[in-house]
Amino acid sequence: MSTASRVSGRLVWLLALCMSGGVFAQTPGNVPGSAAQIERGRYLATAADCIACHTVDFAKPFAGGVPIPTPFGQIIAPNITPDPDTGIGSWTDDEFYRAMHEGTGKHGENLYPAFPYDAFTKLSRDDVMAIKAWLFTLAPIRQVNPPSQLKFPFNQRWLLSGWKLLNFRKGEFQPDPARDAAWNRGAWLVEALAHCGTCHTPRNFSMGTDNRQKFGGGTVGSWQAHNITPDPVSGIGGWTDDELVAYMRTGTVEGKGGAAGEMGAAVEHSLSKLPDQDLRDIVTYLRTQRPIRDAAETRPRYSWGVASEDVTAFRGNEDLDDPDGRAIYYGACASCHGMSGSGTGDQVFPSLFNSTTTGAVRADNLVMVILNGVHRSAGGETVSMQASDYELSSAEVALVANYVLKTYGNPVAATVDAATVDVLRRNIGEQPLVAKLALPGMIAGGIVIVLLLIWLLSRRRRRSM
Amino acid sequence: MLGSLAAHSLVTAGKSVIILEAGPRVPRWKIVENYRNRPNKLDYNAPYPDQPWAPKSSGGPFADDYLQNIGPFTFKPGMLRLVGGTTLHYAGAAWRYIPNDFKVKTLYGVGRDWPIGYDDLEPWYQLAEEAMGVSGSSTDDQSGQGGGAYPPRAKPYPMAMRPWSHYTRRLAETFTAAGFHFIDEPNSTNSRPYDGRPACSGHNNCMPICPIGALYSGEVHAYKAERAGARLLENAVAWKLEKGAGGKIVAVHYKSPDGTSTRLTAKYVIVAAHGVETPKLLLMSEVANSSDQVGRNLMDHTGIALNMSAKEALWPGQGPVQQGGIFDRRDGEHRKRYAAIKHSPRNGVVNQLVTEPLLKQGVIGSELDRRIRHDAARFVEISTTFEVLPHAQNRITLSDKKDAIGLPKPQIYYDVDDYFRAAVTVAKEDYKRFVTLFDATVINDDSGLQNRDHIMGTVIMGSDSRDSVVDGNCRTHDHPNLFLATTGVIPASGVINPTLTGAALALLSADVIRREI
Repeated sequence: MSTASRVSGRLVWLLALCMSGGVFAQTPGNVPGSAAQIERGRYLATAADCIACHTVDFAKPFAGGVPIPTPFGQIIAPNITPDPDTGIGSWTDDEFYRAMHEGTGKHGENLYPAFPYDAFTKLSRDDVMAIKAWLFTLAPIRQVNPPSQLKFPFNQRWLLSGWKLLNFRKGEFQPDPARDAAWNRGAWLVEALAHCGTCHTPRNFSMGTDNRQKFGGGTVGSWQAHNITPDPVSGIGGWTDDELVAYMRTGTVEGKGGAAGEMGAAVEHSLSKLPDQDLRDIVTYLRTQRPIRDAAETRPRYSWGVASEDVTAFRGNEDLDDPDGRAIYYGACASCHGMSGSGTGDQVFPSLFNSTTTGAVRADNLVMVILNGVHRSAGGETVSMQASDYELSSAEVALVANYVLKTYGNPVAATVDAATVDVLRRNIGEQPLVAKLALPGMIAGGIVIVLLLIWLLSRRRRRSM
Repeated sequence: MLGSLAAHSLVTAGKSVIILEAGPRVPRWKIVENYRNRPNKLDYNAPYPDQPWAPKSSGGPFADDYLQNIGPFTFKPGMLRLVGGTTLHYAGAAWRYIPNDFKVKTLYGVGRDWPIGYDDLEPWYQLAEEAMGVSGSSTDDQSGQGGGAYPPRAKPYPMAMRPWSHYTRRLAETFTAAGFHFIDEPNSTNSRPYDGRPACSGHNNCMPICPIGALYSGEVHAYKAERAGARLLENAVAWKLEKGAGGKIVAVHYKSPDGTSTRLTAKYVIVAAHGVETPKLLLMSEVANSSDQVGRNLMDHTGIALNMSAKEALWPGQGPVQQGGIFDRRDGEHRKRYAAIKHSPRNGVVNQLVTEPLLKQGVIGSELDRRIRHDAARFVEISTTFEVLPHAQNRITLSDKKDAIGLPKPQIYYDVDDYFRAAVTVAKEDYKRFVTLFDATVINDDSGLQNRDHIMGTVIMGSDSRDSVVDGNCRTHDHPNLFLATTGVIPASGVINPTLTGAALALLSADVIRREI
């Protein structure tokens, strides 16, 4: 290929990028304070789903206060309205960019990586400034949020320098010239803005994203964020493009499953509001990821289960003082999901088979749906399944979850007991190695950092000599 | 339910709250299964537990022998005792009284005026509607005169009105064409997902139990209160309020199912035990009764019904069981002469009602199927309720008979008056028109008097401590720290379901207590 044609090839995708909204190109959205910049900021903040973590009460958007459960304790998301005292009203552009780009707060302190700056670092300064410009158009809300409640040593922010050293690489997104515009835009959306990997990539021993297992499925609290690699069994390989787009747009696809928990919120507040092309570009990018197979999964999650109805033999013979999973199913679930588990004809109340929730090898999401219900609005439809965490004991949740998994889902997962449900109720996820090693590990890490500093200083001294 | 609302209001204001519930805690799904497993689908009390220490009003061996009627009318309201209470099986009507309902003595020379007016209650109505989740029409004239939106409200209903079924729409069209004012029933059933509970999906099972919790019931706020830190003691039957210095109530004694008694002290006490058990507890404790009005003035919206078979297939049984009604005689000068009247078509599934007579006639086979389908599609039941005036002789007293833990059973005397009977005559004239309008065959136009489960008046509210039990804040005249949260305080019944008014008053009382503690 001649140099000229290579250059023109690059020009083509650059042009395409400009036309599809522009990732790096100079656009009116970069003019500070302009309506276009603010509008771009609104779009970026929506795609980044800022509201998910920074809003408790939707009458007070972005005033913070959301407790983010972690294995180390609760991190309380801050107020990011432009209130000068309790929000970010007094932040300079440089401070805001530093927070997004380096994970460093206004006073130079390390920010907890529950704030996904490992993704946001990939945003350009222009885009970060657009987000700030839009946030500063919001009504300032004076709201002092409680401090994060983390156990020692995790409440020591300086230790996060160790986390950053291990897990954080700052730097803006660089497009891959070998790929087309759609792929690059998808990459930018997935990696920088929508921060899909924050939940869908598993964490390593130190709570960094384990990129050897990229998009292979992770956790958020007690929820399983499923594998979104192109693997046909464990990932999204069996989903059509239209299905994936519909899932992100509405939170549900007949015959595949529905979004609940954090994914339901991501659909409601972020993905459902993105332009169609964005969703298609996300799919384009995800399709090119390395497929990852979970050996425990023998067929796609959505392929498990059939309609099953045994109510006739059962009716009148149940013992409500000592109910089994089937009795609880018919009493608590069947009014909506049907006596056969098929849901309603219009699937407003969905089928319990052919569902990623019941077809997974782990029962976690099913248990979480039973405990917390489903509350999701997207595309003009609101889904509301009532939480049963109060009406059902952990033992009863386990019984009904196992019954549903055996009858309508993946029977491999039907090993739930009351203790499992108790753990899931706490919604803090599994303890990573770093939490188990906690104090000794962090002390060791601290020593490593001190040694590194000594080494660096001694090098510098040697150089200056 | 009213106690749960008050408890929730107080505990979320930072107060320390203990809830005593006479009955057990039974999850909704078990009641649903009980309902499904029972052959008699029309006995709304039957799926609920029949506990000897806290009997419900009917539907079990302990319950059936509980209320001791000695009057000409058998007063037997649907009444439950468990966490959530009787609203577990109500139809969800959530009407506000209209301003004239508060001053019937002044305007019409009958009954009693309230010591408070509509404007006093309006903000509390709104809070109650928001707490319960009420769907309603923003345009209806609820006084039934076909005017603009009425009564006045500061804010809209929390949810838009529920969509009408084909049946309700056809009835409304027919009545409206004949000059009646048919209006939507505001209802504590979700018309969209609300407060973490789903929208009504039309199971048509509001009574005896909404299977999905789209219909509000008292357990919602009982559980909310508990989550917020209130302690809920189940199977704890309050049987004595202990008087102390300064006319205050200093303790509540409750019995457990085994008969043992426990004494709890409190700064303030709210008795929220509905219209029969509340006066019973006051009478047993000999408190709040310096006026001798406790237990008296018993009212229900005693009613009658018309069952007919319309010419047109109307298909009742889709959607919630109550959707609207004819309110032309809800208010007006006629209330000087006869009671206010409400006609509401019942929209329940009628298969059992139409099938039983067919079986008795010996209809079988495919003809039976055809007739069930034919008759069920055309069955129309107009349920009529009347305003009832408070009379001292209609009363609840303590029976000599005792329940399983040694507490006296309620004894009831109840009868209707000429004011009521005059209205029945008018309603029956309406029935003749209804039959003509639908070109219908009468199935039954002489139902006799029926219970409507709206217990009022037994701890009556008034401004004069000599002839009433509580003041306008539902505080007992005799005891400054004893409040009553029950529709039993209602002094003038009007003709609408009293639950929402009870809820508004419970929230008002809780706010008074909050400011005093």
